[in-house]
Amino acid sequence: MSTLVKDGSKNIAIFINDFYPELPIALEKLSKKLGRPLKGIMLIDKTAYGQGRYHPDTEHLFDEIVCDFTDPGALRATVKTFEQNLLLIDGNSERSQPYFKLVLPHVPYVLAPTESSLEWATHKGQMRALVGGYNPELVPRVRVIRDDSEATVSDILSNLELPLIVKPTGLAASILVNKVSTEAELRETLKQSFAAIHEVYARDTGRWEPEMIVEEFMEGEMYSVDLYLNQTGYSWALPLIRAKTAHSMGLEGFYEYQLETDVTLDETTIKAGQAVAAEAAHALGLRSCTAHVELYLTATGWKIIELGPRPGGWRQFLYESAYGVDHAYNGLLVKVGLEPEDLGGEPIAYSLIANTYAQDEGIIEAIDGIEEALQLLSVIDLQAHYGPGDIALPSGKGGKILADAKLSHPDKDQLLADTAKLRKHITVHTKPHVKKTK
Amino acid sequence: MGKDVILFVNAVRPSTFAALTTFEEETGRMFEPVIIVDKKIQHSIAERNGQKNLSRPVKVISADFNSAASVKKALAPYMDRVYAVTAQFENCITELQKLVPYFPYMPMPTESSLDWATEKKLMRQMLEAHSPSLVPGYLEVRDASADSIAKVEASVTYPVIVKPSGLEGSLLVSLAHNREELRTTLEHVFEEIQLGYDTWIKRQTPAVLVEEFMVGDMYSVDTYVSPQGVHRHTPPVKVTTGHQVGFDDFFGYAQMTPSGLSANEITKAQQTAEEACKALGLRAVTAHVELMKTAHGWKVIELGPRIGGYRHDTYMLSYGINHIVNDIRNRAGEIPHIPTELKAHTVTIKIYAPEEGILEAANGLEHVQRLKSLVFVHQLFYPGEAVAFAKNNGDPVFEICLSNSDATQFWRDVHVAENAFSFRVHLAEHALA
Repeated sequence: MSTLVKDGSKNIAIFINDFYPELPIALEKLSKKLGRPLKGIMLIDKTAYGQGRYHPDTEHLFDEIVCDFTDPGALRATVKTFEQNLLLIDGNSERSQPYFKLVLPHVPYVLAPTESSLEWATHKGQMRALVGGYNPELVPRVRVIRDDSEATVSDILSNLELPLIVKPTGLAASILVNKVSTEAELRETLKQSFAAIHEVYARDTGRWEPEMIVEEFMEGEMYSVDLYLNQTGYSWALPLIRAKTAHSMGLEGFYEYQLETDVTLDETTIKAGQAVAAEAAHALGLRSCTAHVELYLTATGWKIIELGPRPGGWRQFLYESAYGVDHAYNGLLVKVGLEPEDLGGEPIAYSLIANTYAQDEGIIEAIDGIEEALQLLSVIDLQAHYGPGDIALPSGKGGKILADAKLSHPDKDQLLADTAKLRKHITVHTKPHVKKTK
Repeated sequence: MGKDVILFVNAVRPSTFAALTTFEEETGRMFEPVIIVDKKIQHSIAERNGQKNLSRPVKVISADFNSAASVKKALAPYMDRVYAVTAQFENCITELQKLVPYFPYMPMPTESSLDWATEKKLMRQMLEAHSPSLVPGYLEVRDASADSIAKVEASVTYPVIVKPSGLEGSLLVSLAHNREELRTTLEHVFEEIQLGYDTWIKRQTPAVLVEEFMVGDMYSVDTYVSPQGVHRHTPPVKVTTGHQVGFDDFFGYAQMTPSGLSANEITKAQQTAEEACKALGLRAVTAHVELMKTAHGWKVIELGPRIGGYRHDTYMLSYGINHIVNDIRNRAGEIPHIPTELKAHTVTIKIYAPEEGILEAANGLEHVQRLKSLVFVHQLFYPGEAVAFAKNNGDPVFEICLSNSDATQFWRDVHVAENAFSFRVHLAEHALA
């Protein structure tokens, strides 16, 4: 048993920047398991705090400490106030990873990933280089580019085969991700992407210098799996989640149109997917974390799309409602050197996430159908993130999710029927967005 | 396959082979030492760290440490066999830092802590943030301008020590009592600093610190910091600086055990070393901590994330501590064995020429070779070669180690050794120029 678990003085859990409602519940469960009260603290970077780039703990369930993470002396002095009692530390969101990386060297005696592995896992170019170095079969051929010059286009065309996917290295959630099938489309997409990338990086606090990767398009079906990795690299995989992209549904963009727990894959294929995900995590040297791995099942086997050193979005709901797995609690168990308690067996329900993005650019006049959708039997929650007056952009042009719905039901047919109705109810009305010209 | 490979980053200390043999004989465990070195500095580091005449052939693997593919390819045949990874020299820490992320499933220090422990400015920032009483006042300066000197005078009081931020030991370290001395010292340091970094194969950007001079007695403690943060200390070593024996220089002239400190002061010294290690977030390393016992308590002079020079010999002779093996075992997550019963008095002494220039004659070696307490005497420079002071990138002409369980004989031999040598030096403007 880990010394952290045995030492009764270790009773503080630190969470970096972003609070999620499942965290206090998971911490309470861990407290009961360890037989001692545990205290949660949100450690928030001063700049992120000032700019509102964090998920606040609005009910003040945890304590809150704000500190300048770019000042090692300030961090040292802050960490000194609780390090004797520190049990675990966690960075749960993609955007908190660079902040988590800055805190890690100040907390050397708790279980945590290496600084470099967080960098590798969140930079799409480095991630592909390392996973490809580990096993070339796991990733498509790729080029990292910083401009749309003739030399760049020529290099791409002479080394990669069309069709291609163009995406930024330092942004998440399929923003500015586009498919190109011809040289002309490639040139146009690169031109548009580099024209928009600085603005989108500034808006979403993208990491590193703005750059794009261009990789060969993979034909196949998209899935994801979340893994738990302990300090020795041993991994436990949760069930696969099917991700239907907008592209696969005939819509514009490569965002996750729908996430489904019902994958209808045979056991051998599932095991192979989980094994490939673990390989990717090991290629990046991930440890003592939850890893969210996105994969493609192609005609030539499983391939890696993305990997994040944190739980996947909506996975707490998906795994808990469909399998009874408390994802956040498992993550905390691994963080203190214990094994996850439940990895999900037979499903207890079917669950999915239905996302709505803008199909056209414009100014939102209304998002209709929310009240009607909430009446559907399977709909657990539905959130609209934008409203009248906001600008709507397709994901390929930097647009973000407009609304997401959580659905779950023990009866698969009921779930599918409600999903179809929800898609009909939710309609986004926009009017043309007239851009000012200088 | 068992864990039987010990990876030495860039270079291995010559004493390692005997240390490992002793451990193998005691435990029946067998180990294969392997050096992994960055291709870019392979030749220079072998030259600088005395790797060309090792007593035993060692497997050397090389890689481009800036290329993940190159490092992974070089390590691939050994990954399943690696018991521990260690860096035994200060000028190998940069490469250890680069290797850390490739061993995520073994105890290793954090990457940032190795930065903090090798750059004096960062080190002082962290020590000050952890406990302001640990360090004297200091300021980083970038030139010898009147503006820089004014900033120094506004922050610290004379006398001050001027030292490069990224060089260990006493290289380019000087004392300045007033504004004029500070100006000339800074001018000299900024002229020579790049040469110092090049000579000692340091890859950081040169920088200079000015800090308040601490009056007191110098000691060192080597501390094994476990992967979980348990600190285990070696007995303190008494350090006599060149300044204390009449040189205008701050090199470690003599390192002696036992230290002569009371049990109470030993505890305080070790507690201070522990606080320094905590301040820098060290884990899974041996830390060599240099301390000053002042009228205001124990202060930290420097800290390096590696074993101290000569400390293996000193500790082995005085206490039977197998320091090199302890360093390796600690990094592997095992508990080091630290006997504390005194077996013998031990000292290592560096003998520098009294002047800089071309060495014409060095006499007295035969007297030292006859001493009953002699463990070794190494001659590093011979007539015709250039010699310089430590502060000017120079090395000693002789290194001597004396040890004896008979204190009377030991002190008699120390006296002889300290007075045995005489030199004739043809004065030059600058020996290394």
